[in-house]
Amino acid sequence: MSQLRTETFPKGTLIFKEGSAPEVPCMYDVLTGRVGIYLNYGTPEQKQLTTIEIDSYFGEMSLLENAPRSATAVALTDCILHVITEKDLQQYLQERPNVVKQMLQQMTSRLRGLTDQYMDICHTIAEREAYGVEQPKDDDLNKKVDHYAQLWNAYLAETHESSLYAQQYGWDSTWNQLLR
Amino acid sequence: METKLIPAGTVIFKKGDIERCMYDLTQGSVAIYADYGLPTERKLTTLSAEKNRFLGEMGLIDAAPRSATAVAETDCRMLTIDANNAKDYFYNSPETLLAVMRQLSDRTRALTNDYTEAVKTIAESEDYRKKGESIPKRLIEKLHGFADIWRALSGKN
Repeated sequence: MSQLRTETFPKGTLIFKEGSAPEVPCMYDVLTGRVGIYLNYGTPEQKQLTTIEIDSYFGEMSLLENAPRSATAVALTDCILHVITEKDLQQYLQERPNVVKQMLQQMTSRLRGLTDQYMDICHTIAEREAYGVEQPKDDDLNKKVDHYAQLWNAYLAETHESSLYAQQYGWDSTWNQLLR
Repeated sequence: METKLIPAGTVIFKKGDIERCMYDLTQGSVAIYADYGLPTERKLTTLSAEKNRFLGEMGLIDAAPRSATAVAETDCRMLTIDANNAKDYFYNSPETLLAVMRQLSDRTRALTNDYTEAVKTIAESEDYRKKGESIPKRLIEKLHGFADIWRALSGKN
């Protein structure tokens, strides 16, 4: 029998709201059901970022960074969720080692991916720099420089202040676009 | 779990090494180098027991080759956490699990900011180029900084 706290959310319930700060930072993992993650939920700018399925987790930023919720979570079906606070971690690790492993793997692969992207852009800058004020005669290089320049403009046109945290976690589609 | 004493100057791991473990630095500081031992050697960062105690934590999780060389800067004490003892280690001190995740999360945030800054710098520079104007010195310097990072980490000096 699990010693972790579970909560039941009927379909359509708000689990947490963007911008809110939980009294006790916590994350959730999904035992049954599906959860939608949204920006600007309930406004004309509403945008669904992702869907969280069984045996996956969400809301970990609040637990890790004690930050306000960066997005809104809504039960898309009837859901049963584990509620994990800092003091539950030991129990959580014992009962759900695979979800913990998945969290660590996702964070690591995100960081590796980001490192590759960062190296690519630094490489592009180094190659472009070698040409000084001249226009490079290398079409591939020109395309890459243009690509990065355009990313910035697309990003500026679409980004919202509220999504800054979500962006870091690859949830925001604009940000995904910026990260290729 | 045994705490190892590592004398100052010891190479803890080298770029390219594959070792499925991380280190919990309980005392001292460790420097991370690109091109260690070469004329182009460059110190990338210093980790300390007080500030960022985990070293090579990504290697424990995905066993990818080390991306840089780690050298004990002072005498150090550290625990080696590998696939065999990771579960006990995290289970016995769950706060370390949170600390590893926080360290990953902090690095992701810092790198995201650096990346965003690089994208922005390219876009601004290209704006000047397209208008046929010369690029301001502050942008040239920033571009040079990013290019230097690539040169240092790729070993192409």
